[in-house]
Amino acid sequence: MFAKKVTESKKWLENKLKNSSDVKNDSISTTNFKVSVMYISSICKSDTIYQYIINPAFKTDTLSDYETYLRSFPGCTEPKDNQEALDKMLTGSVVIFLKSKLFVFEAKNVQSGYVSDANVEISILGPQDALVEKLSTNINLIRHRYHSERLSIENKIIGKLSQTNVAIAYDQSIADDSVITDVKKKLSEIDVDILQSAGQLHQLLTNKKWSLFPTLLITERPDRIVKNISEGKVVIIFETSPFALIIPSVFFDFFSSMDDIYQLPGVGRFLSFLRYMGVFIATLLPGFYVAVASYNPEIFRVQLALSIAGSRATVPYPSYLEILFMLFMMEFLIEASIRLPKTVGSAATTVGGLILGQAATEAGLVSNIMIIIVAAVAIANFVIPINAMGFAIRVVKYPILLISTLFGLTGLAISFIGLVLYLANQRSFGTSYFRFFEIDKPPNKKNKESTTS
Amino acid sequence: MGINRYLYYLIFLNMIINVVVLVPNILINDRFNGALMAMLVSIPISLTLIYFFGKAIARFPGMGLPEILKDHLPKWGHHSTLFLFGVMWYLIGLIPLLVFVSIIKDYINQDNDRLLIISVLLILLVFCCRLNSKTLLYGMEVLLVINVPLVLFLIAKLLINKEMNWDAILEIGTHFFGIPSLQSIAAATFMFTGYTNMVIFQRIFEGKFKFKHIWMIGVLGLLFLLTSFFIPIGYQGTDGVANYMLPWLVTADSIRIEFFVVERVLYLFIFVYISIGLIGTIIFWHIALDLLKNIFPEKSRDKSSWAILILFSAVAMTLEIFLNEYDRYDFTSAWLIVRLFGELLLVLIMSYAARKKALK
Repeated sequence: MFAKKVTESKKWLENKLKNSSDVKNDSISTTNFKVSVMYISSICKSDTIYQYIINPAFKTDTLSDYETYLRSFPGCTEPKDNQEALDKMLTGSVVIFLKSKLFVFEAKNVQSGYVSDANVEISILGPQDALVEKLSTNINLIRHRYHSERLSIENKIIGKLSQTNVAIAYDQSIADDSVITDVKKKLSEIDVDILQSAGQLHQLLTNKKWSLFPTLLITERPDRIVKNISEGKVVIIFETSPFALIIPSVFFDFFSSMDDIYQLPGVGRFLSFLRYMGVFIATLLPGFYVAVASYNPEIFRVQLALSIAGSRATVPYPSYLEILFMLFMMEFLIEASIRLPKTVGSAATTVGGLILGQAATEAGLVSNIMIIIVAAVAIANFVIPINAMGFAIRVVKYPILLISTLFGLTGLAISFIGLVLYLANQRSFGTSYFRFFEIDKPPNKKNKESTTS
Repeated sequence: MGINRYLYYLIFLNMIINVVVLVPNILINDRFNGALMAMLVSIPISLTLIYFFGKAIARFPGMGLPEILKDHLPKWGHHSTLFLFGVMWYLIGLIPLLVFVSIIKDYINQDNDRLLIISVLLILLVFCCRLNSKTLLYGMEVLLVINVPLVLFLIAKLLINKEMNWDAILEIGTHFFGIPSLQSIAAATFMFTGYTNMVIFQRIFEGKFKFKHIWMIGVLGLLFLLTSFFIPIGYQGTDGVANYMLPWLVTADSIRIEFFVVERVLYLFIFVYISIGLIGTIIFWHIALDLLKNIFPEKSRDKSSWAILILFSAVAMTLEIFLNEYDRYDFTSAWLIVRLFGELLLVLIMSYAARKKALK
């Protein structure tokens, strides 16, 4: 009778975790008896399992001896019911099925030793861990923040030569089925030799030649991944890259930092307001400056128009050249300080800062106000928390500048409308990318079930 | 709010862009002969039309006008109706476009040629009105959310300004009892016609739109009518207001924001109206394009839509060359009357089709 109960429990557990590829289900047969163990390999220490569970099995003679041996461990208990066994398993325990009993044996593996701090997406009050370049560690980081049997992790191998291990993680009960099947289909269709980074996979998944804005969010923060999984999104984690892809993502995701949640609500709102201000400044200000200075100085109040004209008095060329010159200097400076080795980097910024700050104005090549504008554009661009979006915004100001140079304020208005519609036309795995209110989300699985039943 | 908000956005869009479709000009021309009465009369007319249209279209969830007509009208009737309405929607978009060209020429880009200005606008329109219907609704939402607070700010600023002459408004109020002309009724009903855009947008979101709170549309429409009629009168006087081709621009230019970088309200006004008006034109032409290309057989639709867009641009440019501002005014007021009857016809056809479907 007890034996039957044990096999039932085993089946129940298997069924609950059937979508997770990191669940191990082994049986140990010694000459005298047979036991089987079940555990989630990504959060258990395999050494512990070999040393304290598998090895002793071969050293004991009878099943009852083995049972007494197991009972002697403080971390080994008999679960009340199946649910408790499952919960323990999800927090890093091994379930041991004896003939008529089952035990849970704690073999937790918390990886903290070689997990480094986040250095691309920095948070002040949030957790500091970042993903690493090892898939099992990454899954471990996620599992330790999401203790639920609904989290399923499936493995895939992409890249003919690189054979990169990729895991798809999602919450079975709330993730959208159509997105999951779509992601799996697209992943299996990918034909590439080497896959090394999340950004590369983003391109392979979206498959657009001239896309400018990222439509899938790339992140290195396990807390952001877990938050998105709990909102029903699908996450792709890599073996060789410390970044994960979140599918689908919308425009506004790229402007939320995890600190918005960790800070008090008033502060969080203010921070996200700052970012949207930053986007407006970073995209429109250069175009606006050229349109106003060259076409319609009358729209400013007189004092301001005069002071702009006064500061431009020594500049020998039209305003668009002036701003292009400064913007390119700024871009060079940013690029140089990113790519240079850290020891040389400080030299580059000093030299660049000198030229941009003082010498160019004194030589009469650019106006003082121009410097302020370029600085404002650069700083406003840095406010965007997700790097990929920051780069997109960096690029997008140039087309706007070009159209504004040609057609003045009309050009600015037209390019703004064009930009809004371009963004509204993007889709991220079937989800509308750019919409102001997200009240009418597509019904996810949970809602669907409740409405059909 | 849900999905239904897009329906209200479409209605709201028409109420805001009335200024650039010369509705206030026509009403102001009739200010001593029943313009106020025309506004009052327009509300029951429009609300009845909305009611019947809403009832009829609810029978066709997820279907646009071309599909509805195809099922319920003979082929010649189907094609000629699509053509008629296609041209109508094209003209709804064309009038603000022509008005914008003259605003831009007069106030922003004085050095540029009119044809250059209209070509730039046309490039944007041609590329954007081929976009997906959902995209346009999302884009419209963003532009409205950015601009409507500015519109409300401008109206509030105009209303609380000391220069506003309330006596002039009261004076016009004494001319309340008059027999309204057809022209001013047609102009006033334009405010409420945003709902007709559903002939295409009904397709998306599986037709989950519902025509609810119709009285609210009436109240809002009346408020917008009153502001867009009375504010220019309050600033330019009962007689002076008729001297301007675009009384609202002069009105916007008569106030200042003393403590802001852009001092002249006029420029803020132009910007707000260019972005709202252009998205309006894009939406109207999107509908016109969709209606017209459905006349052609399914295979050649992609090619024919380009041909239609080239034709759209060519006609717009020709009209820009040949119409002066007076012609444009006459053209608009004649077109608004045709539009009123077109709207009646549309509601009749829709009710007919709905009835036919119900009997089946």
